[in-house]
Amino acid sequence: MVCTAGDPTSTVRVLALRCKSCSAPLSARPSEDIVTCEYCGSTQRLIDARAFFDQILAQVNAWVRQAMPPGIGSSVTSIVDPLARHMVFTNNIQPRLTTEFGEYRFACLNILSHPLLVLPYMTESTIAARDNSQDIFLFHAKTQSIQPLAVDDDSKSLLSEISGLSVAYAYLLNNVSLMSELKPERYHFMRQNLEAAADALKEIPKYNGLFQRVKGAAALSHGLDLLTTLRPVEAQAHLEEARGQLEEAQRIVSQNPEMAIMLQAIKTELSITNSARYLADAVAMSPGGDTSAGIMPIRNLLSILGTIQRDAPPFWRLRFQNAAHHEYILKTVADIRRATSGSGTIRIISGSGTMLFPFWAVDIPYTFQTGALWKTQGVEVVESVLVSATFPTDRGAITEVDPRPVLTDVFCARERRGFLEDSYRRMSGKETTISGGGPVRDSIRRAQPGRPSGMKVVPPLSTAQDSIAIVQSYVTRACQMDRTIQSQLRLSSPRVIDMVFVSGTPGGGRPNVMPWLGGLAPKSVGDIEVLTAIAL
Amino acid sequence: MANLALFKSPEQILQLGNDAVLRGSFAEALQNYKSASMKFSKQGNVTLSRLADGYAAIVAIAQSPSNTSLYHPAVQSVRSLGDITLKLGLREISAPALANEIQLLASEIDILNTRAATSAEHADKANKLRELATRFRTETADTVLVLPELFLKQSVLGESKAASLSAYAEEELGESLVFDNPKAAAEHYQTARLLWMQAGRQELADGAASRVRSYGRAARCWFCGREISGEGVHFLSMPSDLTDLLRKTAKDSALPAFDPSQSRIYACKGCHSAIYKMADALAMERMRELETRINMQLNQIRESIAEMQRMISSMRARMR
Repeated sequence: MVCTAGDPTSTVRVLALRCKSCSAPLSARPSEDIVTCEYCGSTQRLIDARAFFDQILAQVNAWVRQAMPPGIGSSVTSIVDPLARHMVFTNNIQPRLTTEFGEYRFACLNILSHPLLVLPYMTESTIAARDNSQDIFLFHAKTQSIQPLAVDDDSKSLLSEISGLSVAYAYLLNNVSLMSELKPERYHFMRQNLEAAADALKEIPKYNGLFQRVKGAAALSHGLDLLTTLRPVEAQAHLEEARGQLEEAQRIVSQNPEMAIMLQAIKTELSITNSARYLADAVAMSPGGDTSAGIMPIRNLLSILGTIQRDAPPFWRLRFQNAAHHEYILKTVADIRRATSGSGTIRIISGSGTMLFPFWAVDIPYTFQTGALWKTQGVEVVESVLVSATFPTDRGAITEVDPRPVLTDVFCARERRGFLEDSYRRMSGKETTISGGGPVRDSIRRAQPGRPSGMKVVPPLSTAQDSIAIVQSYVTRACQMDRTIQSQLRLSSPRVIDMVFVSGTPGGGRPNVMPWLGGLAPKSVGDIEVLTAIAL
Repeated sequence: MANLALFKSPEQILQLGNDAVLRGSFAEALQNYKSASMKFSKQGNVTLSRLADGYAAIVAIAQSPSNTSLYHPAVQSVRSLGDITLKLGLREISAPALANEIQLLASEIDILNTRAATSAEHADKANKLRELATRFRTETADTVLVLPELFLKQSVLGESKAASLSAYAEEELGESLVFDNPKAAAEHYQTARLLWMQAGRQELADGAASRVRSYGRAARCWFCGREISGEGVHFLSMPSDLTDLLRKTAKDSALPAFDPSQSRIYACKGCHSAIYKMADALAMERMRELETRINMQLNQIRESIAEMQRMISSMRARMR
């Protein structure tokens, strides 16, 4: 149902029935009493939507009356002298419009510097939207109402830009709002908003890069909608389409300095697209083809990732928020599902247990000083540690209270032969190491490509870079805790070798992993309850 | 074996230098490498003398890692070694790659230390930073940089260096635009903010965010009605007494003429400086007036004192 007001040639005419909640256009059949907004999902009575529309109409009329020069009413029609209309537009309307538009454009670009989508089961509420969609739709209605006053090409082009970008901005504000909620059908609504925004931008050549981006984001939200409604195979085609459009947007935007503010956000959206593709692969490979059961641990995983990134201290928060962080984890999830379904392998250190836990195998080449006087010398050692790849669920590790429980504490395990012998070896420069990670290196060497064969597999919650950061924090901590290490250790440079999965038994809040390492075995792999919920 | 280099062969002294690097004793390493170079040179072994010189030039940087005059000789020296592999602490790296890394790090210090004052200088600095970021990204990519790890114990990837430089470049671009187009400047600071967040530098991201807020803010001048963006640069807020009626008069404008949370009005730089200078001139004039009046009164007091002294003197004379 479309409402028009007054004379169709008058300045106030282009308004439709509007949603009471977000002001987006509503479509309803005359027989319906209740109508649902396609853009924000709110349900309202038709009578209320009509009343709201009248309210908007009154506001637009008031604005036009105020903007017009004295003696000219709001009904300047297309039959009035074009020169007079042009003068009114240039002197009275344009200054008001451009000021307001300048503010909205700036706020819109601020929104566009952030990604327009978020992974399923996660929310994004850090985008500070200055405006609300109602105000922007109202502004758009004002620009529509004075269209007959734009006579020359420049004025028409200005009005077209103002109108296109403002309406796109209004839909993007709806989209931002949806990103902060966990509404079940949010991707459907996001797609509606993004498609409407793209539609508003398609006729403005200077926003071609933005148009491509929004189209890509719409395709991505369509893919995510299909994915969350358990149609992963159908989703893949839309995700592929999204990737193509976002890459094209990236190409266009990188050549346009005016839109360069979007570049980082587009890269993030491409990373989200890749994550979604891994997610679709993983869901499609659900055990026994049961996608509704197969998505459950992945859903838990994404919720946990959301919680971790929100609650982590600043140093880790910035790392965990990174889209590449999620992309890597979801890629590993797809690899695990491939191994579980028999079409791929993961590297496993076999042993007894019911569950496979992920660990980063990290080399720590380091140097230390030994010997006294003319015996003083530097010794180079390559040590290895296994770091629990699920350490972000261990609060102590990420708050830097103590990272030692989540890894094989090789400096603590250094060989001790008694005070006298140790002193003699140190003074004479006969020490060959100040750590004791021999059994760890042997364990890493034992890792073989294999399949989980009935065992549940816990996906990692960290990346290789995260593991290097925690090892660096461990080395610092080891120096603080042990004066000998502090006085002798000189250089260290951790490097990731691989990710390995180690069998273990979750039980009693503390896992039993790598019992053959004795005291070297990590004391924690994080929150066992959480890990059980995300095990694939 | 740190000492007794005097009776050792140049090969052994070179080895002492390597050992000192493993112990993080770079000053000692420098001495050993220089000594080895001299001995190799006396023996006529140009190749090893040059190698020792190369190592000496590298470890010399540790004396003052922010001084680029130490970097340029190191680049020359390492380049002259040809395509050999060097061992520096825990890392092995080809001489050309190391020479390139040293040159990139020197350029970084040089560019970041450049003081830009004008818009053109800021734009020039931004371009140089962007070019350098691209070089770090393409030439060092995801490798850990050797010198920061060796001297500063920092594990820095070429990519993260590129992200930081890109953020600095965006900030410089912002500064180059702030006098002409503060909103565009705010956009560059917004990009810088995101890049700082990616680089894990929260404090710098917060600094950029505050520029986004001030440069992106627009207002209408309370006095002349001009619409202007860029708080702190093109417009400022001034304390004032605002009645409810005055507050209501600004309702129709898209831009605020006052800060509703505080009793402050906005003034464009032109009006603000005119008012400031006028207030200054009035204060000076008032001060001069007061000075004249005070001087007059002082003169009167001085005359009275002189008169009284004369009277006292004449009375004393009479008493004698």
